Amino acid sequence: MLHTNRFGNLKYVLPALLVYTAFVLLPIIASIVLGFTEWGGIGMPKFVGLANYAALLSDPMFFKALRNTAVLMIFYVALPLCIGLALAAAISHIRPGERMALRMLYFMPYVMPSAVLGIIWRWLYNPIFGPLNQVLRAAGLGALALPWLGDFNFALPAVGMVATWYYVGFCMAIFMAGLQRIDASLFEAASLEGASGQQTFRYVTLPSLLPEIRIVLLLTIIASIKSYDLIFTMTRGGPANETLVSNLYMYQLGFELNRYGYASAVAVIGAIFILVVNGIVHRFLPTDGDSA
Amino acid sequence: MKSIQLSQVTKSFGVHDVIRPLDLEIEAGQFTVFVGPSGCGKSTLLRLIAGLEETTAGQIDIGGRDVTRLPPVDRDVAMVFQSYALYPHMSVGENIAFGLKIAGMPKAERVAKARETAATLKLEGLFDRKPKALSGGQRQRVAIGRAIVKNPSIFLFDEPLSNLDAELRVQMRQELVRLHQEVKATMIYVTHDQVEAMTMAEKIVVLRAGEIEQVGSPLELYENPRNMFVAGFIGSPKMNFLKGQVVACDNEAREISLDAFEGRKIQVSAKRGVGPLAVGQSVKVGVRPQHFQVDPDGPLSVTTSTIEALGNLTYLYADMGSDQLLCVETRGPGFRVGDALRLSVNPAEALIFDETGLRV
Amino acid sequence: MNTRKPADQLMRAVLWLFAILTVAPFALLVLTSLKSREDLLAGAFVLPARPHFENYVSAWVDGLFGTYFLNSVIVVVPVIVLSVVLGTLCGFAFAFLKLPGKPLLFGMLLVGMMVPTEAFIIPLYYEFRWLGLINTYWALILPQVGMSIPFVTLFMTSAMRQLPKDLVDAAVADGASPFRVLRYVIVPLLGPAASTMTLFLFIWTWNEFMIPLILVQDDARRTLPIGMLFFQGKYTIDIPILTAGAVITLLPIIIVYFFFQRKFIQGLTAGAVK
Ligand SMILES: Nc1ncnc2c1ncn2[C@@H]1O[C@H](COP(=O)(O)OP(=O)(O)OP(=O)(O)O)[C@@H](O)[C@H]1O
Ligand SMILES: [Mg+2]
Repeated sequence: MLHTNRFGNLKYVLPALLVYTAFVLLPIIASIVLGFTEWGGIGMPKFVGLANYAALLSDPMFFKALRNTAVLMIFYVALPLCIGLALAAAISHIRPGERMALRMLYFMPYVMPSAVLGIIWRWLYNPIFGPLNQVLRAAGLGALALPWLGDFNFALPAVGMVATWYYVGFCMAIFMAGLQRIDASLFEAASLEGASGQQTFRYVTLPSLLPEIRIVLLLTIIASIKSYDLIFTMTRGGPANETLVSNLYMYQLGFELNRYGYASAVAVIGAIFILVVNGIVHRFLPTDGDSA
Repeated sequence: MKSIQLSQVTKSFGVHDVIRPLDLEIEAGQFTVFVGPSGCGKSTLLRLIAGLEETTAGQIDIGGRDVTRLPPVDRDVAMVFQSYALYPHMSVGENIAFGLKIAGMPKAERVAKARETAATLKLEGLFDRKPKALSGGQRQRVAIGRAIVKNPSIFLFDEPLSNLDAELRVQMRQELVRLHQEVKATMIYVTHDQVEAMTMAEKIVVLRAGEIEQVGSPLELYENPRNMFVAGFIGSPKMNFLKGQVVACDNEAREISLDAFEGRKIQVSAKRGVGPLAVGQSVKVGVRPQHFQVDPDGPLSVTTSTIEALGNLTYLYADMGSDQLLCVETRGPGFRVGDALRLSVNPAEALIFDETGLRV
Repeated sequence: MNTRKPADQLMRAVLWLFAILTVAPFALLVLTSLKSREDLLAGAFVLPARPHFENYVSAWVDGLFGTYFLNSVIVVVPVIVLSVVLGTLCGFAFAFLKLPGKPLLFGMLLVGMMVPTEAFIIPLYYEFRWLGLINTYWALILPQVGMSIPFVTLFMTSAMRQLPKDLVDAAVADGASPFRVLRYVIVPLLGPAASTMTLFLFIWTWNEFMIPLILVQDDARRTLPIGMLFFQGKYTIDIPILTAGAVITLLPIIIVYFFFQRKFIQGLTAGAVK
């Protein structure tokens, strides 16, 4: 629409940009700045250059957090992707009404507040009266009734399984939409050429779903880096930091130890990881047929 | 009723020049049609006049007043869009009255005016319907009503009939011409259909690639095209173009040997020549289908490959090689595919174009 | 598809089994919330002798879930209204108007879409301390609106760009100012987009954890998820009341989800693919 003053048009964006700048953009910039300082929360932050980042490089806790995130990726990324794909493929044989009902059930965890889910699972995992161990004992598997979230070896996978449960339905729904996008004649052509179900999946379905796989990878990897709510409410990083992740570490450093500069450096690294993942996934995985 | 004058009007989108510097004058009250192939900039030119696009350079005057920097509402124009652009959430009446409402007219008054307009367009019964519940022709009428109600000096139509079926199109064409006679406003009508242009226009502006090829009355363009593009664009079926060389020319006649007919020669009257011609020059001879005669003594021999019999007329098509079809208009039955025919050319009607396509 | 009917039936059974396992925790939650503490000892899967609805009363009154619920509502409603209004105005300008430095402004908004809240929660906390707004509803509303604005703006921009361009031109030709074009032509046609956005904003805000965790320490201002977290810490394991609180927290979402599940799933997955 022409003949309107382009600076006058700013009145449409300014209210939104003001709120956004004040409560998102400025804090982001402040976080970056704070990462170069030492600050206990009172007085002026002291500029220390890259010292925080240098210290991170030799911080065993930070590396523990990174290692835990790497392990969690199995549960945040690999399992939801594979199970979601398998479910979407299996469910495509079912008639539409039933398919939608199943999808609704699988998708349900994804709309719930993950903090509350963490609390619920803490109860489900409770070693003594938690329903999970009751089932195991009733099934004669009492030996398997572990103190899940308190166990050094099993705490991380136990937390991870909740994430898998949370993301499977979401991945499945994305793949279901992707399968609908694929031209049905492609499958017919494959079956005319005598391809088996597995061959069809390998040579037709999978390549056609590349855009969806890309997006699932992007979102779940970012989710694994951001993971916080679930773990905070389930274990708070315990036992003995076995489930510590970087955002949790940031919280402890900042709000428990008042090392705000150092905590900001951790937060900045996390944000950089996310930007990098974004870049990699967008650059290196083929777009193949625009699904957007 | 106002005149429109464009002086050196230019429009580019980024590096893409859509309208080259262009001059055009449209007299008050005239029905002018812009024609040209798709993408030549017809809509852009219309939108520039409406004020929906800003000129990159140049000046637009409406009724003697410079409106180049004025918004649409201050230009005293109304526009009818190809898609009709009816507001889907408003009833027919609200659609028609929207412009009045924006202009601040009190509700009772604008509803009365909208009703009156709807009545002249035979839309009374549909006043409270939503556009979704209308047929294509009815939507078209609402779109026109929305323009009429504002009582503008200038109407702008952007291919308003292209979404209608053939029969309705003919009917609406006549209605628009009648509307023009009634409201006596200046009208500009965009189309890429040359039949529409020929039947409706008082003045036709032929555009190609953002430039004006020729301006004139329908007959002027038909009889005296300035170049091959206009000659080929106006008239249906298209004019035939035959490549050849000038063998002889004087003030009376020109003799051309035609490449596609083994150098057979035809005579063309020099009366319709507009430029100098030299012996040996390569030219194209333009012959409309009705200016061939089936003539046993004619110099050109062809074999019919397709026949379109329309009842009163018959079109014979002959394959000329390299994807070119020669079209000949005849009367009466009695032609069959595969017939070998001899043709002659009416020397008074053939036109000659030089290698750049310009009429000579 | 194939003739292997029994195999298909088996697959179907397996799919249903997993689906039921997926939602089993929610069923268990409801079941437990209706038990007395004594009932619990009988085992997690045993039905109680009678449903103990009084757990909900305890959670609502003594567990302060009533307060938390009210706070959640008090936060969610203005967040939705403000975000949709500001985002629509902003999206309109991005879709149709000339702006100085438009690509730059757009890039600015994208930053906020990619950077997670965790990355700037520390400065945000100190900003609100400096503003003296810790423990107020403002602390819950304003950052949430700020974080929602990029999403709403982008969503609205693309929804508006999908409207027929001629409609906007027609309104301009009818003499409407940009604001009136928005008010009379665009907004009435944005119903579906706005309702999708409302759903998302509801879920995001209702579920938000980090902001209320850090910016509010006063029990009287806590929203449901945080209230639940602190309830869990306050009373050592009163499972029936805890689960009743969880049901109170989740119920609004479950209801909304059941009614709009199609829109939800399509919106969330399509939005993701973009
Ligand atoms: N907003 C725009 N941005 C960039 N290019 C544009 C824009 N509008 C039109 N163009 C380009 O300008 C040229 C002319 O477009 P225009 O719509 O005027 O053609 P037209 O003659 O009306 O064609 P048609 O008969 O198909 O409607 C086209 O090449 C088109 O791609
Ligand atoms: Mg056009």
